[in-house]
Amino acid sequence: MFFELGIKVLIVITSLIIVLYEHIDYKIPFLILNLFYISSVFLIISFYKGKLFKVLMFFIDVIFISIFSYLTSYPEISLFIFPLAVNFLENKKDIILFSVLSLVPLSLGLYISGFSEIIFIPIYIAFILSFLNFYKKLSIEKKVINEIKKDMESIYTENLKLQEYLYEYQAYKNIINLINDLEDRNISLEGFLSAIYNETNTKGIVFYDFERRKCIAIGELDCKKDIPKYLTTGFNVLEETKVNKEFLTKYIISCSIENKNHIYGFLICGYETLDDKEISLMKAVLTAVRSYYCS
Amino acid sequence: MKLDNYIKYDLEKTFNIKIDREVFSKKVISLEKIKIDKEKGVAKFLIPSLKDLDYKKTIKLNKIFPYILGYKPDLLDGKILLVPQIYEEELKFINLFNVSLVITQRVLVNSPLKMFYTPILETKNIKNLNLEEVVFKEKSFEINGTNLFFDIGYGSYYFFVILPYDSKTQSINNLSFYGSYKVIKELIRRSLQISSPKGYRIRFLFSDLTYYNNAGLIEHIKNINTEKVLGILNVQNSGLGNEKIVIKNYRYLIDKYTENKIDNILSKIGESVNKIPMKEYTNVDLIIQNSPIIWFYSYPNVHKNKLHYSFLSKDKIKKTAYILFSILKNIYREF
Repeated sequence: MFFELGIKVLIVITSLIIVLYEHIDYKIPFLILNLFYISSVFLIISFYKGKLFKVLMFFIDVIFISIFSYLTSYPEISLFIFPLAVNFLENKKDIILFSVLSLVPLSLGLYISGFSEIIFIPIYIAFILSFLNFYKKLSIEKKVINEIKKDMESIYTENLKLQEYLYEYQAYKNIINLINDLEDRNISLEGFLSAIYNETNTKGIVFYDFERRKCIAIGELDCKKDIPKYLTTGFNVLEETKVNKEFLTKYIISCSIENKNHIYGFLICGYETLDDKEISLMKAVLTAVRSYYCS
Repeated sequence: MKLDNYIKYDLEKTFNIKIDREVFSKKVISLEKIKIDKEKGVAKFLIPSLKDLDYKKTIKLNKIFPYILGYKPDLLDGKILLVPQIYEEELKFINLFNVSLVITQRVLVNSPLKMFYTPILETKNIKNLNLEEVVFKEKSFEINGTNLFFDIGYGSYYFFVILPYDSKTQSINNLSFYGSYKVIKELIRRSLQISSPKGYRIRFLFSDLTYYNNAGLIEHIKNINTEKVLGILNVQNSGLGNEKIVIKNYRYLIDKYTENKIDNILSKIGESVNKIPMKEYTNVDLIIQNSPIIWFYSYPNVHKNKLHYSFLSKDKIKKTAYILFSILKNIYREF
């Protein structure tokens, strides 16, 4: 935008110099025309940001340069239309529109010169050819950039898939590490259960420890004294039972910590959504807690 | 252009709406330098204060997770932790305890976290560290942020759609910001097309300074009665692929009603999204308590804070925006 305005300022300055140093009959209308041009350019820049912005700007330039070269009878001024094209040309349609619109000031320039400036015609053709060349180079570059962008997107997506794949195994690995830590007595049972709570999707874990006569509650679930009455031994997935209503959760995994018909305690995990992965993880956790107690 | 100005200008121009500004400032105390036996180490994170540090209360851990969970909270009160390295996923566990300082050799954190409740010190010679010879220097300064918000509908109850951003750290080219911003823009576009909600208002909030412990969100929530917040839709790091529903962080984020409703909506539109516990450090659920937080979080996604947005395809953004809008539209009405 800055360079485009620079060219426009240059056109205005040229017109002012001509007005000051040459003998022109319509000086005051000419100055008013200049003012009109400047103000219309600024009005469009500040108030209009639609799709036709650049077309509108170019249209004003074409009109101004035509009138300017006609009034001053300087045919060379019409050549100013070419530097203004660079901001305007982006696709093939623009080049066609430009080649048609730029004929207006150029043919007017030819007419003013009494068709003596025939050189305008090869200049016009040369510029159009150079713009076509420029457009071709630009489109090749655009194509390369688009291809690179496509590659970038696919690499990113592929990378995400790989990360997802790693993540699934990481979850299992974390649980195995935790179980190893519990077996090596590196971590207390309470710490182990809160780590399990943080690693899995469970809403809360409750552990009824009959041996030490205490209850550990982690997460949303609370210790409720009556619950062990309704539980059966073994590994159970409960749905729509009294236990679910007490804990206000959709699914409950309950398992007894037992050895040779002696029950050491109950482990309860609450879930809102439950899948096979979680069930298999909880089975592994149960085995670890059982061996922790019975060894 | 600054990020807050960009958001305001872009949204006002695109949707012809008026966006309110809320400028605030936050005092930050940072650990500037630490001298250890002529060697200089530089602190990674900024800290609350270090005045009463007892160097005899040091506890060594091999790993933060899970060993820190084996301690009872009062055992770690005011202690100094020595750990070889800290991973991104472990930050939230440090925050659970009232530890006065954590000293470590390596901080392996991807997010550009600028402030953290517990001071973390990164130094190379952790083995020969004599804590009594350590000199800490503190520096305090003020940092400014700008929250942007506007409402759709009327009523004293709120449903928040929030995008925590950081005008100091993030830029428009940042993949994590760009994806989330495009998602929330799509949500705004679609929300403006349908009739406004009845009985509550949807407040779109862009809260600043997210890497400074969500200072902007804390500032905004101060003026709002949190009992009147029906729910929150957090779009931070949504739309980047690998989306999961965050179900818990420091607390269980979504209540039973919301979880069932989300499941129903997802099954109606034929999508399925996994649920995970939050793995990275965030304090959103500590700021807004007692309200359900719906958060489709891109995890695992290691590169989200580093990459340029051109890595992101529009399909991902559109898909997430579609899911989130279905939830936003139908969460409090029959589907």
